[in-house]
Amino acid sequence: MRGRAVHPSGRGGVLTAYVTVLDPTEAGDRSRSAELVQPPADLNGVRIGLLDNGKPNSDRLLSLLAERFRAHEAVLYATLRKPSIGRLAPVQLLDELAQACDLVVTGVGDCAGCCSCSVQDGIAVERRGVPTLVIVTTEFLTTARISATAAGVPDYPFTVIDHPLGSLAQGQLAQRADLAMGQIRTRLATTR
Amino acid sequence: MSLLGHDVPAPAPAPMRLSSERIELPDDAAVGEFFLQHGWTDGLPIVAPTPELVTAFVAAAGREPGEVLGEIPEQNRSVTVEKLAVNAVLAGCRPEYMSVLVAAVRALTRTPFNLHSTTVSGATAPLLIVSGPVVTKVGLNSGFSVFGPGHHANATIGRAVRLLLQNVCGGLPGLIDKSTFGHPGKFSYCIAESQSHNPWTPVHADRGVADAGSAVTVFAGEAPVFARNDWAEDPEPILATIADAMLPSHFTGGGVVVVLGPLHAAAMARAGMSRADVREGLFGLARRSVSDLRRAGRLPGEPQTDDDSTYRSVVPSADEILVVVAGGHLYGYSAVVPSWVGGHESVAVTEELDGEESARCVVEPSIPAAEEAS
Repeated sequence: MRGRAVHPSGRGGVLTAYVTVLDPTEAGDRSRSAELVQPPADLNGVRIGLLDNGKPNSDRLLSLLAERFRAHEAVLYATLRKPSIGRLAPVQLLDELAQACDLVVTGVGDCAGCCSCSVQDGIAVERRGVPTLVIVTTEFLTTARISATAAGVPDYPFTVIDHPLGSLAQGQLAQRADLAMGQIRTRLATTR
Repeated sequence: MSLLGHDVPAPAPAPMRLSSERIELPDDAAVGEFFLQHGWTDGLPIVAPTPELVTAFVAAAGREPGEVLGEIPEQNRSVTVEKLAVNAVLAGCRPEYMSVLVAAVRALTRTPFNLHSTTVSGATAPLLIVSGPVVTKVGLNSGFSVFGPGHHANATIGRAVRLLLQNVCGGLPGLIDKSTFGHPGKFSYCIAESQSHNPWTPVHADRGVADAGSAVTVFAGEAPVFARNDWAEDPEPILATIADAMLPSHFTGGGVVVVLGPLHAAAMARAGMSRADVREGLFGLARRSVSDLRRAGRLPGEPQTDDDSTYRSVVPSADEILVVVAGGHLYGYSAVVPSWVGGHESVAVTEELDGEESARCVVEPSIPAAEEAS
């Protein structure tokens, strides 16, 4: 569209002509936004579900986290593994976790494909009324935030560990697990 | 909407309601700079997507602007006709290309293609392979320099897909798309199957579309690896040459596209080979020993005594080799397009253009008039 008008931005005063163009981007379907569910402040007796996205070392990190949850008297329901790293978790898997657990932990989002998927999985569990912790690495926090924003939860509080993950040995993994657990405990302590 | 005379897309009967946010800028130069600064381009100049042009492109598709062509659940996003039209305008397309793009989006958003992961990770771009009568109707090149440059339809249809991936499908380079190298096909990656040099039925005939139909096949492909054999008259040395070019594949269970050049295709046809025979021949030759794969860590486990005599093919079966005929007919080249690293997690998908879509693809010398948009 071309015309003669006052520039609509108000900046730069009167223009003799302007051109109207359309935004080529798609922001995501905000109509499906979710309210975040409050996680339990005390882990005693809380049933924990772990959703492994299948990335190398994600299973080992989640296993180390499970040990730390148990140390706080939480109960491990199960560790379930997604059939496909770069796709969403099947609905039945999410239903099972949401029915059986009080808190679901998923990750690790350490690549561009898997990170968005784990974020969407986590938010899908929140939509089922169960609080979640999504673990991502530092390099993919921006990806995670974009994904959460597209899902209508721009302020999702991620658990962030240092990148990389896939090449780490057990000792370094334990450090990552301690880092994650510290963030998780801080989050739980501030939820009430 | 009826198609009259020369199958010109008819204008919409009523003013079209477009939902995209409107941006007002002083002039076309400012539009170009604004889009560049917002990361809405591939770095090259764009055509300003005015409501008038977008309206004409939506009308050319014969669809409502809000119609959802496909969804990307991993990103909670969908692709509408309107956003496709905006990006097609940006890319410099003609409106008559819209039905090819609509079919391409349907194919890209089908679950087996895995658009999300192949867009943001790995080293691929969606290769579009257009086949059937629509190729000549929109002026797609299937001959010399088929991977580009120099042909408007190939260049802009491929570019429209690129801009769509970036603006609608989460593929913003460096921000969400973390590809190590990108690749030249991410500017545009659209070829057409040759009708004059293909000795067999069209590529879509093996993929559920009638011989006489038109289709778009999409494949998450790395950059083409060229295989030259100018010296052989018989199929065997040519197949061996092409099989060597298939070896850079990932051995992770994915397929591969083999674009047979016309001379190579003619050699196969002279020897009485069918397309299936070519696939079988390549399947048997394109393989590495288990010891080779172990040396690079591509197979886990300790070496076994029979590793040197045990072989793995680059693809799980001959059916995973997609054979297309295209390219110039003066030199003995073929091209191999390796798949995405995720292997079987992304497979080639073919979508037919229905009769009306195909009829909308006739390129006329001038762009048809469209209703005022607002």
